[in-house]
Amino acid sequence: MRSGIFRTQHALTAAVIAAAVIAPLVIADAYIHRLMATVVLAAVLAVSMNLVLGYGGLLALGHAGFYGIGAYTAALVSLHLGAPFPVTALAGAATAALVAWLVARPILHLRGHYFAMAMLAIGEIVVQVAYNWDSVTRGASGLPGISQPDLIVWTAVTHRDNYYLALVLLLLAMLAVRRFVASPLGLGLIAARDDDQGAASVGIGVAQTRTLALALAAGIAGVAGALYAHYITFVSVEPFQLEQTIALLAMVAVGGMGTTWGPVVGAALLTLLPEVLRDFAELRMVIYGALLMLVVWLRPQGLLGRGPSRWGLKLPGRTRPDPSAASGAPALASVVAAPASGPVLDGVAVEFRTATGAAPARTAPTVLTAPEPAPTGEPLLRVEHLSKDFAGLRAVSDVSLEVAPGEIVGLIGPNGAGKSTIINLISGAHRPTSGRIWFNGQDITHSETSRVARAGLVRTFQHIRLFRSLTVRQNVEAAYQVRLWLSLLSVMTRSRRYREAMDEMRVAVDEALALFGLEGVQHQLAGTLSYGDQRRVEIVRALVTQPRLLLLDEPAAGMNEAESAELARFLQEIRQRHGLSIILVEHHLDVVMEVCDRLIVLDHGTVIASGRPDEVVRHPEVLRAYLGGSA
Amino acid sequence: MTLPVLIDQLVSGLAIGGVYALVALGFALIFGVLRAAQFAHGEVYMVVAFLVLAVLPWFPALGPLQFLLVIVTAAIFGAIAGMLIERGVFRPLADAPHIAPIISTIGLMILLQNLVAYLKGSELHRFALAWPQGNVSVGPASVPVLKLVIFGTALVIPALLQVALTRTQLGRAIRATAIDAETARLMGVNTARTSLVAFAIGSALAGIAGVLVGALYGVVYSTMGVTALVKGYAATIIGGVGNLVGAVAGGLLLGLFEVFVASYVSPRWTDAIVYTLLIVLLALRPQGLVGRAIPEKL
Repeated sequence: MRSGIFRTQHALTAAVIAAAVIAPLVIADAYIHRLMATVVLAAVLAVSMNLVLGYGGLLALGHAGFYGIGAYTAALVSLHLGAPFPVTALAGAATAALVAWLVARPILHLRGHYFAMAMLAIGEIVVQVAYNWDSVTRGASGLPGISQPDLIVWTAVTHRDNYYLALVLLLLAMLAVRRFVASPLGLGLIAARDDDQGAASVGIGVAQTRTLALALAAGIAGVAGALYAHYITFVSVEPFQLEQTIALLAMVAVGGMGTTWGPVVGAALLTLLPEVLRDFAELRMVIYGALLMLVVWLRPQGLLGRGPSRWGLKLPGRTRPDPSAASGAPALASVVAAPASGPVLDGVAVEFRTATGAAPARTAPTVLTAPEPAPTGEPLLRVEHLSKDFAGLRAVSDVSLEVAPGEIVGLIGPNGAGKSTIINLISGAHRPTSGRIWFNGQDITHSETSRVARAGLVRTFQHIRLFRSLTVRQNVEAAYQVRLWLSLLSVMTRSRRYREAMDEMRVAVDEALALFGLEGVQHQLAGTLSYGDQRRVEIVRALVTQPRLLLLDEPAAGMNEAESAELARFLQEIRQRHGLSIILVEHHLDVVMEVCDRLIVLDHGTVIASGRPDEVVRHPEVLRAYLGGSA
Repeated sequence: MTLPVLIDQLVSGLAIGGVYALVALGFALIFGVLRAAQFAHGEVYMVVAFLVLAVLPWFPALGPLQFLLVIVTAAIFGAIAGMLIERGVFRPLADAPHIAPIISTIGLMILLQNLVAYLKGSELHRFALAWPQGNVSVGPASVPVLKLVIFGTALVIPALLQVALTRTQLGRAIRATAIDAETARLMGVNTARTSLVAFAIGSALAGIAGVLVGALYGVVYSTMGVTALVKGYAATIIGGVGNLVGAVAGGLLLGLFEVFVASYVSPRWTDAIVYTLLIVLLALRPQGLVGRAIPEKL
C-alpha cells in the first residue's frame, strides 16, 4: 500500500520534471524562458532557505547575503582569472559556505529572534561591504562584463540555456536537501527544532548540526549567486538586500515550510504573481501584499503544509509526516523494503505485552549493549557537595551521592525537594552554584548536556520532550546518531560506509522499538501517542544511545498500576542485560521499592536519609518529611 | 574633537536614538504580549507620519500646543492602526505556526508601502512642524531645540508607560500576559483585551516615533518604515527581548553609536560597523545587553 503511494509520488515527480524539461521546447518565447529561469533560480534559493527555516526552524534573515557572496565571488574570480563557470560556481559556493560556517559558530547558540537578528546583521554587512568596497566591488556601479555561464564544452547563451542550467541546479539542490533531511543529521536538525533541550539530552550536537545545515544552505545559495552573476553578466547590490530575504521567507512560508515541493511552489507563485498583475501597473504590489496576507489567512501552514485549511479545503496526500515522505527517503523506504520483523525482534517485546512472569534467559541483544565500563571499583557517578541557587533560593544544598556500575538508585522526596534540579545539574542542563560532578572518571561539572550524553549519561524528562513532528521511529533514529560519525560528504553521496551504517541503525532501532513493543506505532507522530507510550518512547530514545547511566525523571508518571509494574520489570531487565546504572526519580513508591537497590531521600534540597529501601522508609526523618509532624 | 562638536553629536545621537527607542519599545511590548514579531511595525510608523502630514494644515500654529496636538494625533492614529492589525491579522492567526503572522505582516508591509507610494508618490515629502524652531545653547554648543524635544519626548513617554504598566490594573494584566499568557488567562485576565491594548499602545508609540523622525529629518517617504523596523528590531535585541527598559536603552545606545561611528570612524562604513558590533555583542551576551538569562524550566 505504501509502495503504491510511493509509486504515485515518483510518477508525479517524474512528470513534473519532464514537463519542466519539455515546456521551453514547446513554448518558443524568450520572455517566457526568462521568466522560467527567474522562477527556477528563486526556487533554488527558496529550497536552500527551507533547509534552515523549515527543517531547522531558524529565522534566517540574512540568506540573500550568502546569495550575494556567491555572486560577487564568482564575478571576481571570473573577471580576474577568466575561470569557467564550474570553477567560479565552486568558489562562490565555498566562500558562502565558509562565511556561514565561520559566523555561525559564535551565534548558533542564540535563540529565536536573537539568531534572526544576528543573521539579519550578516546580510546587511554583506550588502554594506559590496556597496562600499569600491576598489573591489565598484560599489553602486556594480561589476559588468561577466562571461556567460561557460561549461567548457558548452556555454549557456540564451534564456533557455540558462533556464536549463538553473533547472539542473534546482534538482541537485533538492536532492541535497532531501538527502540531508532524510539522514540522521537531518533528523537531528528537525529534532533540535522541535525541542533543543530534548535533542541535547540524547547527545545531538545542536549547534554543530545547525552549523552544517546553514553551511549547506549557504553553499547552495552561493552556487545560485554564481549562476545569477554569469546569467545576467552583471552584479550589483540590489538583488541581495533584505527585500530578497523577505521575499524568500514568503516563498518558503507560502509554499509550506519543511516540505519538499513547498519552496518550489512558493517561488513559482510569488515570482509569477507580479508578472501576472502587470496590468495593474503601480497597484500590482499592493495586490501582491494583499494576496500574500490572504494566502496566509487561508493556509497558515503554507499551501503544501500539513493540516486543514481555514475553509476545509484539504489538499490530497498531506497526512503523512514530511521528512520521510515523497521520493526515496531512507527512513520510510527502508521500512517498505525491510522484512516486518528480523530475528532480533522477537522476545522482549512480546514478553512485555503479554507480561508473562518468568524472566526469560535469552541472549542479550548485541546492538544495545554498551561497551563494558572499566572495572576500576570506582563509582560510575560521583557527586560532591552539589549546591544550586535560583535567585537566592537554595534548591539543592550540599548534596553528595554516588552510583556504582549496575546500580539502581532511587531519588525520592516530597514536591520541591530538589530531585529534578539534581537531575538537571547532573545532566548539564543547569550549572551548579558549587560542587563537582564526576562521571566515569571524568569531571563533567561544566560540560554541555550533549557532551554529557555522549559520555554515556542520558536522561529523560519529567515533562515529556519528544520530537513532536517526527515519527516514533524517527525519534529513535535521531538519537541513534550519537553512535555514528557522519560527514556531510558521506550523507550527500550516500557512500557505502554510510549505507552500511544506516543498515546497522535500522536493525538497532528495530530492536530498541521492540523492547517496549512500539513497532506497531513506529510510524505515528510521536506527539499523537498516549501519555504512557510517549514515556516509553522517551526511554527507548535514551537507550538507543547506549548509555551507561540513565537518569529517569518520573518515568511512571501517567502510567496505571499494571503499566508501572511492567516498567519496573523492564528497568530491572535492562539493568541485568546491559549492566546499566539508573537514577530513578519517582513518586510511585511501589516501583521504587521494587526496583531500587538503594534510596536517597531529599527534603528541602538536602539528603535526609539514604540506604536500603526497606530501611529508608522506616527512617523517622523520612516519615516526617512525607507525613509531616513528628512521627 | 571639540566640546561643542561632541555635545552636538551627543544630542543628535540621543534624538535619533530616542526615535529608535520608541519604535523598539512598541515592538517589544507587542512581542512581549503576543509572542509574535510585528514586521509591519515600521509601516505603522510610516502611515501615521503620512496621515499626520495630511491633517497638519488644519492644526493651529500654537507653538508647543501644536506639537502636543501632533503627538496626540499620531498616538491616536497609531493606536487605531494597531487595533486594526491586531484584530485583522494577529487574532485570526493566533493558533497558526509562528511564521504565519510574520509572513502576513510582511504582506501588510508590502501592501502599505506600495499603497502609500501609489497614492502619494514614492518621492520625499516635506514634513515640517511650526514648533520647536531654532537653537538653544547647551554649554558651549548651540543645538536645535527640536532634537532636545525629541529626546525628551522619547524619555517621558516610556516613563509614563512604565508607570501605567506597574500602577494600573490593566498595566499589571499586560505584564502578567507577557510573562505567561496561559497562566494569566487562568487567573482571570482577559488576555484578548490585554493583547489588543498592548497592540494599540505599541503602535501608538510607533506612530509618535514616525512624526518625530519626520520632524527630525524634515521629510517622510513611503519606504521609511523599513529602516525603522530594522533599527527598532536591533534595539529590541540589544536590550533583550521582552525587556522594555532594555528596548529604550538599546534604542538610545544604537542612535549614539551610529552618530559617533559616523563622525569618528567612517560615515560610509557606519552600518557595517554597527552590525558587526551587534554580532559581537550577541556572541558575548546572547540574552542582550540588559536582558538576563532565564534558565528554562525542564
